[in-house]
Amino acid sequence: MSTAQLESALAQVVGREHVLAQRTRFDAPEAPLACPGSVEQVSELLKLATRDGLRVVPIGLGSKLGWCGAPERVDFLLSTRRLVGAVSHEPADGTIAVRAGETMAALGERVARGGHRLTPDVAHPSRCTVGGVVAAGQSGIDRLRFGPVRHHVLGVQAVLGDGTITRSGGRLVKNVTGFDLHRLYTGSHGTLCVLTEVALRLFPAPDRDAWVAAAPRDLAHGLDLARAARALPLRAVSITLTSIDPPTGGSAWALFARLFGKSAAIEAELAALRAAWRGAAVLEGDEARRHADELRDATSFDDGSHASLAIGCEPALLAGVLRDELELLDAATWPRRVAVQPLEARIDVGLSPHATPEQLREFTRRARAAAQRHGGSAHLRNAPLSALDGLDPFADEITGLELMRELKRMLDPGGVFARGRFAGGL
Amino acid sequence: MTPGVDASLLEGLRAITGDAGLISDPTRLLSYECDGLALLQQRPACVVLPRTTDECARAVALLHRAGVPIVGRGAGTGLSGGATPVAGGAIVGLARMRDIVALDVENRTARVQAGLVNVDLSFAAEQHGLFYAPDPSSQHACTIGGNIGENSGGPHCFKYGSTNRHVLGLVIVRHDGSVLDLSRAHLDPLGYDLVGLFVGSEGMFGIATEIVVQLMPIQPVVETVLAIFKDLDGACDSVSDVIAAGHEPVALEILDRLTIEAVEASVFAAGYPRDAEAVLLIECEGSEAEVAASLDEILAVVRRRGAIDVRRARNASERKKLWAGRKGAFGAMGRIAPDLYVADVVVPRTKLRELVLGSTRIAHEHGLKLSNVFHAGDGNLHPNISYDRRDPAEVKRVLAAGDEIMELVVKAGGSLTGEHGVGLEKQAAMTQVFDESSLRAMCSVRDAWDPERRMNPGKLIPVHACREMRGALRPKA
Repeated sequence: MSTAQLESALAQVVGREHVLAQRTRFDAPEAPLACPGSVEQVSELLKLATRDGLRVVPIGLGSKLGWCGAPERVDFLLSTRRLVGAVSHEPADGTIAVRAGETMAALGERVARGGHRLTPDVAHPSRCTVGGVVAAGQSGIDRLRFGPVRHHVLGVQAVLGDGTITRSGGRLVKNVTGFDLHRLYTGSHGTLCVLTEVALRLFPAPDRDAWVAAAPRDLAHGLDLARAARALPLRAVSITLTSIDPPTGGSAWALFARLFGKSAAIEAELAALRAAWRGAAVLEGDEARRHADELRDATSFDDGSHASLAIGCEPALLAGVLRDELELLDAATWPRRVAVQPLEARIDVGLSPHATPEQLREFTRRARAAAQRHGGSAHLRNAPLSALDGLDPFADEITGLELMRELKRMLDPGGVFARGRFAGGL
Repeated sequence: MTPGVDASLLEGLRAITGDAGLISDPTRLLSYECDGLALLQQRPACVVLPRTTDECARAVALLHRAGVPIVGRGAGTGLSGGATPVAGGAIVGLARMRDIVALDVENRTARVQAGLVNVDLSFAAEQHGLFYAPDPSSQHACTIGGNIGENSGGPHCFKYGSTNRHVLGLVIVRHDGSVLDLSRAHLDPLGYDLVGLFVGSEGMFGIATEIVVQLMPIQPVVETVLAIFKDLDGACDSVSDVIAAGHEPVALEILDRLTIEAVEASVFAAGYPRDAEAVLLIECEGSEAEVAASLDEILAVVRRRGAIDVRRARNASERKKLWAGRKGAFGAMGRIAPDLYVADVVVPRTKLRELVLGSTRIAHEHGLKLSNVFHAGDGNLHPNISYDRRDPAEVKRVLAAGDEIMELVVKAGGSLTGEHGVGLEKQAAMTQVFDESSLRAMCSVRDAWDPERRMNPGKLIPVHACREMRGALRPKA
């Protein structure tokens, strides 16, 4: 099928104005982007793909394409960006079901009107959709308090490769009816289905929002302070140690905590944290929110412009992994653009914007080996495709890969969802 | 005898597990005919009780080669018939796999064998200031492995979430005896989330033999309060209001009058007032300030909704007693009638009152005695019907009432099960919740794990063959 024929076939389903030419990070040729306006149109597009043996990459706004590798082949992209709005919103029940193309920013505003706060609190929320966030398994900076995104997906509507419209889970905060296929789909990067609707658990909006900033002497002191916070009777939303926003006064690291909840509880938590983090500055209200949002965006290293590494390891081994990663950065003479969530043993490393693909590949191999020595993993994000030559961006080795391939084969027997992008070439 | 289970197979199994690890004597097999759903029973051909993952894997491989259906079983405390061997075959029991393999205080994790009794993990972790959050009412008997199969909950899961949120890794013996080691915990899954998918799969994807779980820090302050009501509506409305107001207590549990009477007449007597129509058990924990702030506001809500008294546990001993009444409630029901049918459904939390009333009405229409004890905070209702299984007509009415309650709940936006699984009992009702396409997707995923469909066959997915199996079951009467 020629490009013109394909565009015409797509236009018959979604309308001419909703077939766009979009340049993606994939190598030429450009693939058309179809934007269906209903779940039925999603289904029709996938039936078309099945019938004509086409390969599809589902996206929201495409902000996570850089988290994956290149597909073996792609004929068109399918964006859920027109599928917006709530399907059901029960503020008194603490749940919402929303169409997958709603941006996280719009969804955040929607749930705020019902007295809730949206988790995951992800970076650049106006640039990503809720379906994309769930498909990418993207947790927020508030993970310390609320846990990873996969814990909050109550159910989904998902369209399989043959166009079948299915559901998993529901809209209830507790539910074990049927297999949790939504757990399988969360983080599967659109290799098993197109998510068209997502139900999430909501959390109460806080009465009081506080931001605490400390200036540790050095990295070890920063880690000690974070550990001290762990022992306190507080439930921080996030604790971040970073080298990219150091305070004046010579320290190379800054430590931030966000607290929120009932006012009296925050008062007590602030007192405890100030005692542990002597000299820490405190901001509250809008100022606290602004600082928290800025740090969230800056430390994600995920604006798509530069490559970054997302490293996880066992919490007890964090210091060792961090030391190794910093040594690698220093050896490469790259700046230390590092953000650490010490209590979750998560490290984000912004890689040099001037690095060549070969340098990125080599650095990733070494950084990954260092993480693996401590039971960890390293995911290369937003690197140019040429850096991924012979390198899986997710991991070198995937346990259970054969079973994963079988799951993919069973749910997408026609191979409609383009292979090669996800871990292990899924 | 199940085809494939012969003397030579039994000898092979005995060679793997030793005499202590194999049961084939028909009398001893009687205890494995059912789980907590005693209405439907089927005797297995044999029971294998491995001591290690390796023994389990070798036994499953042998059974696989012989084409024998396999049912994994923890302690058999489930209420949906999930551990009932409807197709005969072998039960692989985890009762001899009870070790805590490692307790990692710094990382706040534990690696345990699947047969470990739930509460034993919290007992072991307590000295380190930690605990394991999922706490089913049967936690003194049920196993962590069984909890994995059903994605079990418990009163404290209102705040901390069900089992799935606490499992970091698994070692799984697959249908053919191969071992899939997913026990290395990563911040996020590498590839598809097989662990998350496995939890709650009701033994149809394989048998978890070792489990890595996260532990939680014991909070400095715990407050437990009993709010006493003159009507059940007030208790239900209190819960809806507390949730709507954005409070986060650890647990919100309701017991109605009939349950209170049974508890107070039993060894679990907790000092609940016998003249109350309902009690609401509230627990808050956290920092002193956090608990004080929340509890004051919650108590204002319950008073507004008609609580005539609130009693605070003054110490750990009083708290334990209040909880003993709640957790012993199912056992105490034995005083009302010889048998108990425990329904397990979930409703939107804004519709608690309406659906509790509806369930009670259905039971009364069938001339049955229904009591309520439930995880109100999660909307997880347990309408309990007391009956006598020796009365076949009453058994029929119980099953009919159970079906009607499920239908009512699903129509109101609820779900078939909150923590005990679909199993055998709710298999046919799955079509009320999921259309054929969705069920087919579940079937496909099951086939990826177990292409021959021999792991816990005849459960969860309502295929025609499975309905026939249910029809062939021997109702106990």
